[in-house]
Amino acid sequence: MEREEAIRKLQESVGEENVLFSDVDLTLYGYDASLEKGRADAVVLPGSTDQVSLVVRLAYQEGIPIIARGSGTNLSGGTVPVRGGIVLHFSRMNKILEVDIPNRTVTVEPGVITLDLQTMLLKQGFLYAPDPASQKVSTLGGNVGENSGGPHCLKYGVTTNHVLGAEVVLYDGTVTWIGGKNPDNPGYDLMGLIVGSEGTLAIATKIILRIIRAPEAIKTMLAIYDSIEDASNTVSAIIAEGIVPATLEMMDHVVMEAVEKSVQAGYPLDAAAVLIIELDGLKDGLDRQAAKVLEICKRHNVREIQLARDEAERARLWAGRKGAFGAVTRLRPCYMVCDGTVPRTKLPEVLNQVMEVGKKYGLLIGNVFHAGDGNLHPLILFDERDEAEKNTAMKAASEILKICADAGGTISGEHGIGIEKLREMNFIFTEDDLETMRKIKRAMDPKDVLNPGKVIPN
Amino acid sequence: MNDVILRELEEGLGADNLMAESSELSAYSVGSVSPGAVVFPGTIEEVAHIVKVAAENNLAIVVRGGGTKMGLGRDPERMDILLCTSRLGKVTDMDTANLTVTAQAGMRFADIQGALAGEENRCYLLVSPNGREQDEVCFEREHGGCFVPLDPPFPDMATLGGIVAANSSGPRRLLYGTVRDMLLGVRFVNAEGKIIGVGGKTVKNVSGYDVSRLIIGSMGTLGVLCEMTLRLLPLPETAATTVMGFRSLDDAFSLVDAIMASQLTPAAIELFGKKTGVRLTPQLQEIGGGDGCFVAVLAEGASEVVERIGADTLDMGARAGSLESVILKGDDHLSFWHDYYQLGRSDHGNGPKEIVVRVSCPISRLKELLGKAMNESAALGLASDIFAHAGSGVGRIIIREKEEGDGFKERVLKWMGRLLELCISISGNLVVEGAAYPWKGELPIWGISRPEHDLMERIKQGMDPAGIFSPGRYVGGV
Ligand SMILES: Cc1cc2nc3c(=O)[nH]c(=O)nc-3n(C[C@H](O)[C@H](O)[C@H](O)COP(=O)(O)OP(=O)(O)OC[C@H]3O[C@@H](n4cnc5c(N)ncnc54)[C@H](O)[C@@H]3O)c2cc1C
Ligand SMILES: Cc1cc2nc3c(=O)[nH]c(=O)nc-3n(C[C@H](O)[C@H](O)[C@H](O)COP(=O)(O)OP(=O)(O)OC[C@H]3O[C@@H](n4cnc5c(N)ncnc54)[C@H](O)[C@@H]3O)c2cc1C
Repeated sequence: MEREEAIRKLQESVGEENVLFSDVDLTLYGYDASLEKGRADAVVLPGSTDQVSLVVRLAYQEGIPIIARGSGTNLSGGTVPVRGGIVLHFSRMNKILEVDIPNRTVTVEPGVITLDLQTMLLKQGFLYAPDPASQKVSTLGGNVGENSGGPHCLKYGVTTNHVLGAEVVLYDGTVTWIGGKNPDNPGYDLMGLIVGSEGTLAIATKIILRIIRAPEAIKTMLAIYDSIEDASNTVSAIIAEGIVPATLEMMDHVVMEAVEKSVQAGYPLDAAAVLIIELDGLKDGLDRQAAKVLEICKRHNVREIQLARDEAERARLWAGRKGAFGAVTRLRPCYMVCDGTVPRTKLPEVLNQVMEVGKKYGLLIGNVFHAGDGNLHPLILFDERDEAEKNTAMKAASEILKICADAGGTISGEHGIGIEKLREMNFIFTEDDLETMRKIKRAMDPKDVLNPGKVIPN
Repeated sequence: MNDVILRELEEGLGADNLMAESSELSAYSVGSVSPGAVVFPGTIEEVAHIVKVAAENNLAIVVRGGGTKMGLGRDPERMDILLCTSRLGKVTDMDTANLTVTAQAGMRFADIQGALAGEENRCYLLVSPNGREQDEVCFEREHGGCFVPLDPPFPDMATLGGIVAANSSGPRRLLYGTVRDMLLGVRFVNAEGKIIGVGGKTVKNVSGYDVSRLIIGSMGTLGVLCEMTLRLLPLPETAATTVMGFRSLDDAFSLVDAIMASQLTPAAIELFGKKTGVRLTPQLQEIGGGDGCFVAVLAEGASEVVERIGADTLDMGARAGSLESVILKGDDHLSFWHDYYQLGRSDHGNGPKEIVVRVSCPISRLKELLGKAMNESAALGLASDIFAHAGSGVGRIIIREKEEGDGFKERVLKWMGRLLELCISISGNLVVEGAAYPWKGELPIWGISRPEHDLMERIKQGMDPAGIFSPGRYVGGV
């Protein structure tokens, strides 16, 4: 089919105003938060499941790639149209369809912004737990696509632990439901398979999420250290002592410096690292638990501990953490974030090796990460306009992922493979393992229409 | 089975680990089907060898773990080889500092928990109260041990592979979740006899497709699970159980609703029939009324938390009209749960025959589902009992055959038909877990067909195109 004709058909399906194909639009939708670039042939803003189905059916018939897109904040090139095609941008499908308190669920369209849902729920005393640092912008569809994590996932689990079901559009435009409010259907866990599949197996058009009661009490602490090693040892020790905090986040001095320049969260500029430790639950016993954490920190040479006295102070401590990625661009124009994850006892050793890589290549590396989960985020800082430096940064990133894989970890904890980490998949998988994934992809998308070229190397 | 194949199997396994005498085989039948051979591999490589031989000769393989759930599902269409995992019984990596454990498929669940808790911390184990010395009970002490936060029934028998393959769960799913919330990685043998590894040792992992989750609940139809990595939690400081008796299902559920609406975080809220209740809690006098039932609320965690949950539950229970209540601690608490995890087991012994049906539905519809199911069974003259994970929307209904009464089968079929309709009307579903009758095949064993069934068939077709794994056993024949 000619491009003009395809566009006309799309316009018929979703309305003229909801198909974008100007030069500027196509270039804009060629990016996401990663460093990769591509170019779409058309961008469609669907308003309903039926429209998604029509567009996907057309794409299937014509063999045009379909790339689902939320806010494009993923860090792995997951929404970059590497082979052209139609970008399905879910900004118009952004309604919270149902809040079902008795069944502890909400049903949303994929374009709902994560934080919007969370703010609405909190007013009613409930939580949707997964809280990626990008929650102000990211969509729930994107969270499902990447199986996103966040600071509170240490205690509450990642996105997949909170997705009960979804209405999905399959490769040929068929609409079907997977899972639902019923907790226990016999059969394969297809929902579990689709979460984190980066839009390559199915496209979610409605999502049923689990919600939980907001905890009765929260204690947020900032522990300040003069050495990274002491901070990482504290992380292991807290867990070993039988405490599972809601969060255990770490930041090093490079990141703190950047954060202080932008949001003034009150982090000490002369410290080597800080931990944000949050405990939550019933108020009973929480003080004793906090005292125990304090004692563990002391045992590991903490310099100082600040306890947030009220919600405003808590918000201030968190503002720095949540704004950290954005803030580092004050130091250098670009960053590349490695999402390698290791068993948490390996943190001190792996962090050292990461810093060695930085030294070796003469690159500035900042660390801000989900320490409790062993999920590192070394931010390699560089300038994209300097082609040589960019290449060095990419080499360093790959080396860091290798270090994580060799330490018994993995190459991505929450950001996904996309196209950026395709080459590193063989650090952790054999060809037979990858072939298993290809079989699944072929079973669910035989003509390779859904986000082709992502997740599994050819 | 022909000698060439047997010799090939034997080469990889040793003669001791292969059984092919027909006199021995009947003990290993699944339903009415006897295997052509039984194999006992001791390593993953041996499993791969067996599957390779099977794939080359188009032989069907059924896997057996502890055998507690072999009655579940249809009889296999073919079963040339029964693969027993009993020799795959090792913990391969115990990393309590990272809160992960890796163990082989044939390991019994209670043994894994035992290994994790360590000698010092046996108190958390739901071992038989008789087989344990008094001073080993250590309720108020600080622990270093860990546990797999999963509590499938029959922990002394069920194996890790069987639990994952059957997606088994228990009361404490309310607080800790189900297998999908703690399985981090799997090594399995696929239909070509290749060893496949997915997932890993980290709690966060989005590298490639989440094949581990796909494997959960696959009932041996996608591959032979050999080794699994699970996340652990530190042992709770203490635990206690509040049990209360109620006049009616309605009263009992008003306690359940009150707890669910509160900020309390109990590990389990179980609801069960009067007969079960009286047997499990001799501390309570028999409560009056024909429709009476019990609720047990399990609290685990810091001692202050356990105290608070107990106290608040008593208050809420009183407001819901409880007739009697008791807080079980220490030995009483242990033996209550020990017995609870054996409910529904008589199917395996020589007791009266029974039919066990698992029902599930959106949490808020469980009361209606259980109430109506009981009424229907009473109307048909069938003796039934229930126990349910009341805060999770999952329940079990047991129909006991009192005597070889007239038309038992017809009444059961009629009841099952009504139950199925009821499930459809409230977005629920059912699975027949046990029914050792020749007419089992007439029951809706896997409940209501699901909209995503088509996709399951595609996956099965993609991963096991020749259909060598458990043919015909599972949902819609996948
Ligand atoms: C500053 C910053 C901080 C971040 N912090 C975190 C963090 O703490 N934790 C974390 O996990 N991630 C984090 N991220 C990464 C990113 O925000 C998450 O991956 C997020 O979930 C992406 O959401 P999105 O709406 O932007 O999705 P997009 O980037 O638009 O899409 C992500 C993937 O999902 C697919 N997709 C989108 N919609 C659908 C749909 N409806 N159905 C099927 N597939 C779909 C896309 O095809 C793509 O593969 C961060 C990113 C930035 C820029
Ligand atoms: C009457 C009754 C009541 C029950 N009540 C409950 C309950 O309350 N809650 C609950 O969750 N479950 C319940 N179950 C299910 C049962 O307890 C669990 O499924 C059990 O944990 C399975 O473990 P097993 O080792 O005995 O498995 P088996 O019975 O040996 O096997 C179970 C299934 O998994 C397959 N399998 C076993 N091992 C492997 C492997 N390594 N690789 C691939 N496939 C394998 C088998 O082929 C079989 O289909 C009940 C079962 C019965 C019969």
